[in-house]
Amino acid sequence: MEYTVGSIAPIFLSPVIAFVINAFLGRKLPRQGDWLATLSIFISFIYSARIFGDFVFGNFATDFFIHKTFTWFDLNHAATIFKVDMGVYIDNMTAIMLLMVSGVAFLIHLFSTWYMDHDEKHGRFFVFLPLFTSAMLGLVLSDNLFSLFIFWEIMGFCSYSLIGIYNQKEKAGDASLKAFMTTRVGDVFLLLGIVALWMFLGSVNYVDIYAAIAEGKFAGQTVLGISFATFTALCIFLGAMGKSAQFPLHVWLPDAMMGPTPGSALIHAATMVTAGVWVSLRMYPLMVLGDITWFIAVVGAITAFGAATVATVQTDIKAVLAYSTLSQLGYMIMGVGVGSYNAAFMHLITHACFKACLFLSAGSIIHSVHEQEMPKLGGLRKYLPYTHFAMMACTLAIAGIPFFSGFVSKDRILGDALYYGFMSGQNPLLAIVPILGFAAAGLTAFYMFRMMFLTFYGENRTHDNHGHGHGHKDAHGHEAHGHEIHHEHLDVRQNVPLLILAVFTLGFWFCGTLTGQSFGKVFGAKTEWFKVLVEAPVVEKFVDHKREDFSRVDTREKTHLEHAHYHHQTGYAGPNPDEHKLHSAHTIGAIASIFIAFAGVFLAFLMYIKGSVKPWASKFPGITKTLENKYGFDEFYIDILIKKGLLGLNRGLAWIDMGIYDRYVVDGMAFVNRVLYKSAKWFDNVVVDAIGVDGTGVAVNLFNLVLRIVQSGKIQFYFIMLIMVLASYVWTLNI
Amino acid sequence: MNGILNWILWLPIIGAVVAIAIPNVKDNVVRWITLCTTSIVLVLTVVLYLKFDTSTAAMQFVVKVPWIEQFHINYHLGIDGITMLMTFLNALLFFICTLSSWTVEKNVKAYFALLLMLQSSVFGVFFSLDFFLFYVYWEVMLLPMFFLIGIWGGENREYAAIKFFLYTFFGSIFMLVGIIALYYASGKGVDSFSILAHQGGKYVNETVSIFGHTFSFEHLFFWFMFLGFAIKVPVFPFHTWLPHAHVQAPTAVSVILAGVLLKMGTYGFLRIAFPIFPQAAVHFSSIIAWLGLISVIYGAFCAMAQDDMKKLIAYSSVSHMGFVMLGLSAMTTQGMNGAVLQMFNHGTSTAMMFLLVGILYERSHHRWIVKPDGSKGYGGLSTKLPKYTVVFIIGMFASLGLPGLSGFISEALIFLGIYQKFTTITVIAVVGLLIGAAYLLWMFKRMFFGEVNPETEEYDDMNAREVFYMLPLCVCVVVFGIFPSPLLNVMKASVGQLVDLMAKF
Repeated sequence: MEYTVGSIAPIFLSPVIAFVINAFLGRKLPRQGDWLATLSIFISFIYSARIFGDFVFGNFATDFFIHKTFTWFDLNHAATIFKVDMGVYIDNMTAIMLLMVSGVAFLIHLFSTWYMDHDEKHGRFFVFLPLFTSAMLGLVLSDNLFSLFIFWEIMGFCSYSLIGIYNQKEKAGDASLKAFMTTRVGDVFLLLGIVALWMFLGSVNYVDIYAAIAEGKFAGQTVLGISFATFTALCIFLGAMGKSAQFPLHVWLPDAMMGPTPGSALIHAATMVTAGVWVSLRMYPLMVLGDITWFIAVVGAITAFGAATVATVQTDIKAVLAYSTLSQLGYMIMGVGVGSYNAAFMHLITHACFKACLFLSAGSIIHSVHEQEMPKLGGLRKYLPYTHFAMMACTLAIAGIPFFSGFVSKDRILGDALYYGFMSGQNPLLAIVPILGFAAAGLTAFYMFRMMFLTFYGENRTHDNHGHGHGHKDAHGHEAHGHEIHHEHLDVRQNVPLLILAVFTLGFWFCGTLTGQSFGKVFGAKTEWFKVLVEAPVVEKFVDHKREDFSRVDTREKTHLEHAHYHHQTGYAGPNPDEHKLHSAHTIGAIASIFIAFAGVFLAFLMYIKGSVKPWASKFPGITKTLENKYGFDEFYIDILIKKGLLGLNRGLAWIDMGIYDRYVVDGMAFVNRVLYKSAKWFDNVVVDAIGVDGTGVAVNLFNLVLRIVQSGKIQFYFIMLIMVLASYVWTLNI
Repeated sequence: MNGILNWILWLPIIGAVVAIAIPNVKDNVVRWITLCTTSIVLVLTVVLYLKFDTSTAAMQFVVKVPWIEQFHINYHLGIDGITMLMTFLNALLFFICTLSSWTVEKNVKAYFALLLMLQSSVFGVFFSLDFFLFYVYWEVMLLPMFFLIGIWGGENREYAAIKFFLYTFFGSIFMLVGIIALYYASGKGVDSFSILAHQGGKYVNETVSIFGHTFSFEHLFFWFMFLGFAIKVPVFPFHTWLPHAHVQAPTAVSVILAGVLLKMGTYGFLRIAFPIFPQAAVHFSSIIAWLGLISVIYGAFCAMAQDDMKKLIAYSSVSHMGFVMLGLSAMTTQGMNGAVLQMFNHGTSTAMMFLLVGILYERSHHRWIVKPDGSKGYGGLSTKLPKYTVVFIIGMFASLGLPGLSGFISEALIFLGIYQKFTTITVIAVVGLLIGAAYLLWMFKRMFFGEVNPETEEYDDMNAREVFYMLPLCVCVVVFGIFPSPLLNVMKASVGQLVDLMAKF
C-alpha cells in the first residue's frame, strides 16, 4: 500500500470537517448533523483499518513505520534557520491505536445518536464529539511532541465543553473548570518539557529524541541543578499525570461524569485519559534515561489502589466506573514504570474497549430507567438483557477473569510488577508497587461485581423511587418518574454498539494469532501478535532516520531486521531481565491474580447476592467516611489550596497593588508634585510677580488651564487649537 | 505608491475635519463619515500588506520631506515588517471601534473626531522614522486619549484621565531627554534626528558625565528610554495607571488602549531602545526579563482577585504584555518573533474581550462578576446569550493560549526564546500560563453557568452590528492560530535583522 496525503489525512480531517459543518450549520441539518459526525468517524475508521491491515497483515514487522513531514511555519532569516515541522509518524502502535480510537469513537457516536435523542444539547454534543475524536486521532498521528501538545490541549478544551455542556447546572461549570485547570497543571509542565527538549535538540520529533538518546547527547547535561534527562522526563510525565488523572492530579476525572454518559465514555475510554499513557509510552526511552521509572511505577500503583478503594463505596453507577477508570489508568502507568511496555499499551487498548462498553451500558441503563443511584436500581437483568450481557462481559474483563481481555493485559502488568518489586534487585521499598497492584486487582473484582449485583440482580427497586424520588433530577434534568421500564429490544443504536464492544472483551483477540499464516511466516512459533508487534522503541535504529516530505508518495525501504535482535526490549530498558525469574514471576502473578480476582467476586457475591456477609460499611465507619470523602482531596485542593491559599494571595496582592502601591506610592508622587506646584505657584505669585518676571509658573499654569478646560467642558476650543496645530504641520510640509 | 503612508496617516484627520466642519450635522452622518474613513484606511492597509516586500528588512514606502531644516528635522515615514503588522492592527481595530461606538450618544461629533485623530496619531508613532516627528506623535496621541477618557468615561473618569496623562507624560519626558542626548551625541549632523541613523550600537564607547560622575552613555540613556516605553507597555511597577484607565474608559477607547497603545511601548523597545542601545539592552536583559516575569505573574494574580470584569481584563493585559517583554528580553529569533506576534495576537484577543465586556455593559449597565454585596453579577448567560457565549469562548481561549487559536503560537515561541537565555525564569513563567487560564475560566464559570438571573433574563443576544464587528476578530484569532505564516513571513526579516544586531553585543 502506498501512503500519500490522501490515504492518511482523512483519518484526521474527516471529523474536523464534520465539526466545522456541525458548528456552523448543525442546527439546519436533519437530526442536527449527528449522522454527519458519525459518518465522519466511520470514514476515519475505514482509513485507520486500511493502515492497521497493512501493518498487521501486510508488513508484519516491528521496525516498519511511515514518517512524513511538512513545514508548518518557519522563522528563517539570513543565516538563521528555525522551522516548525509537523508530520505523521505511524508505526505498529499508532496503527493499533488509530483503529481502536476510531472504532470505539464510532460506536460511541452511534450510541450517542440514540442516547442524546430529544436532549436539548443534542446539536452541541455532536459539534464537540467529532472535534474531540479528531484531536485524539491527530495526537496519535503526531510525529512530534509539539503537535502532540496542540492536540492535547484541544482535547482539553473539548472535554471542558463536554463536561460543562449542561450549562444551567452550577455543578457542571465547577466540574468543567476543575477538569481543565487540573489537567492544565500538568500541561504547563509538559510544555516546559517540550520547550526544554526543543531548545536543546533543535527538534521535538520523536525520532530525533530517540536518536539523541542513542547518541548520548543527554549525557552530563544539567538544568537547574538536576540532570537534563530527568528534568524533561519529569516535566513530560507531569503532563501525563494531569491528562491520565494520576494521583495527585486525579481529582478532575470523577467529576467529569457531569457530562452526558457517552461523552464520559469517550473521555474515559478511547481519548483524553489515554493520551497521558500514550505520551509516557512514546517517551519511554527518555523516562528510562531520566531514571524516573520508579516514580512512574509508584504513582501508578498508588492511583490504582487508591481509586479502587474509593470505588468500593460509591453508589452512583457512573462514579464507580469513573473510579475504576482511575484505577485502570493507574495500572497502565504502573505498567510503564515497571517496564511492562507492551502490556501497558495492551491494557490501554483492552481497557478502551471494555470501559467504553461499560459507560455505554451505564448510559443505556440511565436512559432506560432515569436513575443512576445503584441502591435505587436492581433486578434490571430481566428488563435490559442485552445491556446486562454486554456489561457482564466487560465486568469479567475488567475484573481479570481468565479468558477475558483484561486478564491478559493486567496479568502481564502484574507479573512484571512482581518481578520489578521482588526479584529485580531494586530498592526493596518498591515492593509496594506489586503489593498495591495485587490489592487493587482484588478490589476491582469486588467493586465491579458489587455494581453488577446491585444493578442487575436482586429485587427491582426502581418503583420505590415513586415516593421519595420525587423532584429528584437525573443527569438530563428530567424528573425521575419511576415509570414502568420497557423491555429492551435489540436496537442498532442502543445495544448493538455495546454488543460489538463486548465481543472484544474476549482475550483471544489480543493473545492469539489473527491469521496464522502471515504470523507463522515471519515468526514461526511466536504467535502473540500483540506482543511481537509492539515493543519499546529501540533508540539505536533511529540514528540515521530519513523522513519523507508529506507531499511525496513514499518510497519506503523494507528492512526486516532480525526479530531476535529486538525482542524483549533488552539492551536498553535497564539491566537484562533474568528470563527465568521473569517467567516464574509471571506464573506466580497469574495464579495469584486469578485467585485474588475470584476472591473479590466471591466476596461481592456473599455480600450482595447471598447476603450472608453484611457489607462492611457499617463495621468500619471511619474508613467508609474517609473513602466517601475520597480521602479529602477535593476539600484540600479547593478549600485550602485554592480558596485560602491562592485566592488569599491574589486578594492580598490586588489590595497592595491598588490600596497601597497605587494610592500611596504613585499618587504620593503626584501629591509631592502638587506640593511643589503649589509652592511654585506661591513663589510665582508672590516672588516672581513681585519682581515682574513671569516665567517659572508658566508650565504650571498651562496644566491648570488644561484642567479648567476639561472641567468646564470647553472642548471645542481645544479642538480647534489642535486642528490648527496639525494644519500648520500640513502647511509647512506642503504635501 | 510612496504616498500611501501619507494617505493612511492623514485620511483620519481629513475625516475628522470634515466631520467637524459640517455645521449642524446629524449624529448619524458623523458616524458614517467616521466609518467610511476607517474602512478606506483599512482597505489601504490591506493594499499596503499586498504590496509589502517580505524579503527585505529595509524600510519601505519611505517618505522623506525636510520639515525644520535648521535642525535637520524631517517628515520621515516608512514601515518595515514589525510596523506593517501594527499598522494593520491599528486600522482593523479602529474600523471595529467605530462600529462598536455606534451607540455613543454624548457629543457624537467630538467623540468620533477625537477617535479619528487618535488613529492618525497612532499611525504617526508607528510610521515615524524621525525622532522629532515620533515624539510629536507620541505626545499628540495623549490628547485625544485624555479627552476620550475624561469626557466619555465612567464615574471616576477625570482621575483616570489625569493619571493616564501624567503617568505617560512622566515617562515621555525621560524619553525626550534621551532624544536630546542622542541629538547632541550624534554631532547635530544631518541625521541627528533620524531614528535609523542612530541604530547599530554607535554609542557603545561614549560616556557622559553628570555631577562629576562618569556614566556609560548607552547604559544611562537606555534607562531613560526604558522608562518612557515601560510605562506605556506597562511593565511592573509602572502599571497602575492601566486598570484605572481601562475601567473608566469607554469601550472603544479600552479596545484601542489595550489593542494598540500598549504596543507602542513594546514597539519603542524594538525600534529605539534595543537597536540604538544594543549593548545596554543585552547587558540589562536579565533585569528586563525579571520585570517581564513579575508582570506576568503579578498581573495574573491581581487579575484573579478582581470582581470587575474590565479590571480583570486590564490586569490580564499587564500579564500578557509581560510575555512580550519576556520575548524581547530573550533577544533570540524565537523570542523576538514570538514577542512581535504576541503584540498582534494580544491586540486581537484583548480587543475581543474588551468589546465583549462593552456589549454586556450596554445591556446590564454594570460589570460586576460578583457584586460588592456578594451576589452574582450575572448568571446563566450561556443559556440566554448563545451567540455572545460562542464569541466569548473564542476570545477567552485565544487569550489564554489554547492551541489552534492565535495566542498559543506566540506564547510558545516566547517560551522557546526565553528558555535559551533564562531557564529559571521560564520555569517560573509557566505559572503565568496556569493562572492565566484560571482567572479567565473562573470568570466564565461565574458569569455563564448556572440558572439564569432575573436580570439576565431581559438581555438580548448580540445584534447584527455586534456580530458584524466581532466577526473579523474571530476570523483573525482562528486563522492566525492555524496559519501564522502570513504574519510571521511579514515580520521575520525585520525581526531577524534586529536579532542579528543584538547577537553582536
